[in-house]
Amino acid sequence: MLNTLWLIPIVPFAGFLLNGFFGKRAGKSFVTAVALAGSLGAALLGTWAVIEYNAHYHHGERHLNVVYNWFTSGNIGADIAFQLDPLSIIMLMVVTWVGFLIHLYSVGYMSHEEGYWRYFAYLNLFMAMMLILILGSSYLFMFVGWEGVGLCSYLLIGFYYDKDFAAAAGKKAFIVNRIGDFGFLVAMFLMFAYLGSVDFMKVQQAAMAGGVDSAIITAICLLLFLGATGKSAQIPLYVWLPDAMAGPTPVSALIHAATMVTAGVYMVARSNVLYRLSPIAMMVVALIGAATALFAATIGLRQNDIKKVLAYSTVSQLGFMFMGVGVGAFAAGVFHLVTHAFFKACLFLGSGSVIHAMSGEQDIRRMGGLWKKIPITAWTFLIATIAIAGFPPFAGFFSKDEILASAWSTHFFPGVGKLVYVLGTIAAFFTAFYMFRLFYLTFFGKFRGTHEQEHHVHESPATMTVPLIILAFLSIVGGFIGLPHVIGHNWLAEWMHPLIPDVEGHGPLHIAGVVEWTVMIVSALVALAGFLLARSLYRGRELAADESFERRSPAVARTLENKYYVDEFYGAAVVRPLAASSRFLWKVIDAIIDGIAAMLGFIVRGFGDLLRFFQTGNVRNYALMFFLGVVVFLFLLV
Amino acid sequence: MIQPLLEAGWMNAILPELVLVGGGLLLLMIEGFSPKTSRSISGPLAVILLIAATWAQNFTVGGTFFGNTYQISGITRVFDLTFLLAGILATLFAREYLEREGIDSGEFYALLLWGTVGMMMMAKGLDLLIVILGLEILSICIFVLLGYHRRLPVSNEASLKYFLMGAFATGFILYGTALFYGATRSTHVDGLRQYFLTADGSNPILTVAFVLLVAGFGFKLALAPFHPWAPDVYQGAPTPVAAWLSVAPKAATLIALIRLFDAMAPVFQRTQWMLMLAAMAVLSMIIGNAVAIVQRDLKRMLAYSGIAHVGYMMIALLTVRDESVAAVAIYAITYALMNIGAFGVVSMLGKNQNDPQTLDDIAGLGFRRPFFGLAMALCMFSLAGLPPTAGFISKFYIFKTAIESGHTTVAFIGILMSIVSVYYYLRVVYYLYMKEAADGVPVPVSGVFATGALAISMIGILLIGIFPTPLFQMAGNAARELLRQ
Repeated sequence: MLNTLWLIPIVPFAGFLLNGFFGKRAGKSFVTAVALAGSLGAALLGTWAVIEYNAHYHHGERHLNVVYNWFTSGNIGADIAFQLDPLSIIMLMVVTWVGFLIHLYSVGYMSHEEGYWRYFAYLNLFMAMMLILILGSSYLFMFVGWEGVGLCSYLLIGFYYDKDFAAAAGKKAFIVNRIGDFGFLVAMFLMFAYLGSVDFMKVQQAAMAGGVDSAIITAICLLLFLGATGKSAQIPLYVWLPDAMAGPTPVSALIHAATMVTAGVYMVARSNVLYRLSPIAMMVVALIGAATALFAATIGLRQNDIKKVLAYSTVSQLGFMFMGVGVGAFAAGVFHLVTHAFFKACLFLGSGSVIHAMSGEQDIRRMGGLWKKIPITAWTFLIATIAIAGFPPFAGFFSKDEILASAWSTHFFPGVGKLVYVLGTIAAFFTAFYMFRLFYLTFFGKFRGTHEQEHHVHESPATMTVPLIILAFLSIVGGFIGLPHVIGHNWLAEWMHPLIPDVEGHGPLHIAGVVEWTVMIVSALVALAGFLLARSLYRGRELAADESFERRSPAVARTLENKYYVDEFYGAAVVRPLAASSRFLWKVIDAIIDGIAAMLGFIVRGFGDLLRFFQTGNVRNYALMFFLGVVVFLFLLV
Repeated sequence: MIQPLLEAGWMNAILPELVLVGGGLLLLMIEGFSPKTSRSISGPLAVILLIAATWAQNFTVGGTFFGNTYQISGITRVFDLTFLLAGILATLFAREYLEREGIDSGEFYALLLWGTVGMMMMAKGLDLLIVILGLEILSICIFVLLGYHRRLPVSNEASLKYFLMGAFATGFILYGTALFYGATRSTHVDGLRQYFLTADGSNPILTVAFVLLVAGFGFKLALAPFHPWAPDVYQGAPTPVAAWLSVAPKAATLIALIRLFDAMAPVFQRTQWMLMLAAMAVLSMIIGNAVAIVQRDLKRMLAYSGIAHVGYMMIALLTVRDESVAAVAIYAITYALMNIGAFGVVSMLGKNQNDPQTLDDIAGLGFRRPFFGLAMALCMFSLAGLPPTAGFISKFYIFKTAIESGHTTVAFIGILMSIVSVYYYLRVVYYLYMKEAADGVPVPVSGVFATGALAISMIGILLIGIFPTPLFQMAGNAARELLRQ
């Protein structure tokens, strides 16, 4: 299996082809079987490969499976090659198994949809592309997957294309991501030019060998991070993710919470050598991460769409991951990626189950009192809420705690590290608050929907609840893979250790015992405070707290509800000027040419009568423009 | 001693051209004696002749012929293949298009074949006069082909516009050539190379000649600021002709420019000539992409996108070296596959050809004609440069070469503009799969030939994208061979 790693993405890709070409005619059971086989097949093959890897390698070496040479030109080139190493293995396990659970859940959730076959075809294609992204052994091959998942995300966000906003949201996601891709592409060109390769290992060796201008390294790191801010929805490119909730809910769970959006974190962790050579770039990553974590959490405080709350929560949690990798705690960032995949997938799937039960309602102001009616959903949702809020010993506690402790103790930029810690802790407080607000408004109090909705409320079928239960279980125990050393064994950090070689002057991060204890206690108290505040405001009081807040400080409430007007700002500052300049180039330049033509009419009067019968365009003007072009060039050059 | 004008083996050397010229005459004969037979067989026959010409490449021998004015080498074969590929695809699309429009006859294909011969001459001519001769053969064919839909006002208009502007451009080319001759005593690339090895390029006559020549060729390339004719002409032309025109003549002009720029290489970096090319490349990329965004007419959009694509190719030509020549050759082939494919789908939209074909006409095409939809989407992804299509790898190669040559700023503008371009290419995909067709929009007709052509495009796009090595090697070897002398 180790030398046929390429089979892992091929399996779901075959599922995509089968469902894409025959799914429409072959019927639902065929589609279901193919889609589940595609994702389960990848999961099983992946697990098999991991078992073999463990038998062969004991020190976290990289296993390389070169399929063929993609292209070579001059002394550089790139291979189509897959690799397996500790980081890829973690991603592989998370992506394939969580992916499979979400496929399973989708069977129930999407069962009434007309485009069932289309949905599963896209979903399998996504799995294939995501596997290329995490198993590819070079930046360039990773980029293939990177673009591929972006495309699938576009198709799936726009799945309900008969709703205008869904199609627009898909387009927005794709285009915002392309801005990030510009960074990624330019970074790769710089790697080719200055480091001589785009293979992960070779880039790392070339960078560690020294001799490359540190400004170049910083530029590469920042450009890569620009790519990451696009894909992983960080400031300033986070705007697409909340809109992406227009897609089906399992898609939000899979693509926009558990897997694709974490690709940026994966990339930074993968490039940890480059980043550690450029503390400035790391500081940018950490600060952007912290700022995003806090900023998105405050928006989450006053969102009323259940999926929007979770979307901003995802943006915020991704910020935490970047804080981790930014302060040099790469294992901690990846740790949070893993636990977040569990509890956020659980939350999204849970919200899907709620929406399903509520006949499509997404507004939590019209929910309430669902605790008894859909108990499995409610319990799993509660567990995941506790995990994200950061109560010990649930999964989110340990990963968030390790990030915060690392931020406090980072030796790359001690002062800024403390600031990052403070921002992160405030964000953690808000997280606990908005999550419990969501929980209480959804599951407690009176039912606030219509009678018809109340009549239809029902627990979801087993294909939906089983994945929920499994993910809830993982949200409880997932944190034990990375316990702080003061109380146990950090297996994950050790597993990741071979990937983070010592770079000159930058050894591993050390967290003092006392810091670890203090941060743990503070985190637990912060989570508790957030919970208690939410409990006192929302338990049994329905929407009264939100309304009174709106009365007391309407400006703040409106600003938060409108997400700080960032979309409006981008619209005014970027989108409209661009559109206007396109029109300008088209119309105004034409008009100018026409104007000049009119002024210089005598030059071309002879042609005029001949050419009058033309309907569109104006040959006279074209000839004049041609002539002017030549004159300008002659004037400039001679 | 006077060289014999016809060297041994000259017949072999121009075998592909002979096949096409003879084939074209044959098509005319059939049309003349039996118009009915001609309508049914001339399309397939033209494809067979083009394939025969491709096969005839095997019998050609490298070397120079006709008194050192005509060169056969690896790079001319690569470009011949591009022309023939473009010809085959355009013929396949034309067959059903012409039938549907009721304008099918043998001379259409004959003109296409002869136009291809003209391009081959441009690619192989070592003397500027041969290049111009080829260019004129090509242009005359284009004039007629553009006006082939002779009952449609737009088609006539396209033809006349191209004729007038083309005559204008040819004037510049001829005048530029004459000035070059005046300054260097030669119109042959070897003569020019000899001259530039010793000259410093400070003679202003040279600059004037250069500007005139590049402006003339820039017209053929639809390179800004000599581009405005392109959208009007493509829009009015019979769609398969527009497809062919948007690709093949550009490739032929590029290879002619490559020879010329290579001969001037010693002074290229010292004079400001390169700046002119860089300015044209940047202007093309910006105008092409920005204006394409606001187009709703598919053919106009593809015209502006074509302006941008020539801009990308010009980036590589700022410094002529083996890799940049290879990059242009690869890009030309890729561009032929994806652009003719895209135009081909447009040609299938069964609509009154005098009306514009807009985005609304392809709404929901992905579900109404899944194969066309898929082909169009793939062509768009490739034009946008998304992996793993050929468009990605070709564009990547262009930019990489440019950065290695030190044209970092221009390359970055190119990357940025290619990202802007995703917007309008993606909009097409959006209409294909995320819009319902409005009432009364006819389902496009389907046909065996067009389906076959689209299959060739799709397979080519994926094959070059996923397994680019054979093409890279072929183009790389050919480019090294070209620049070694």
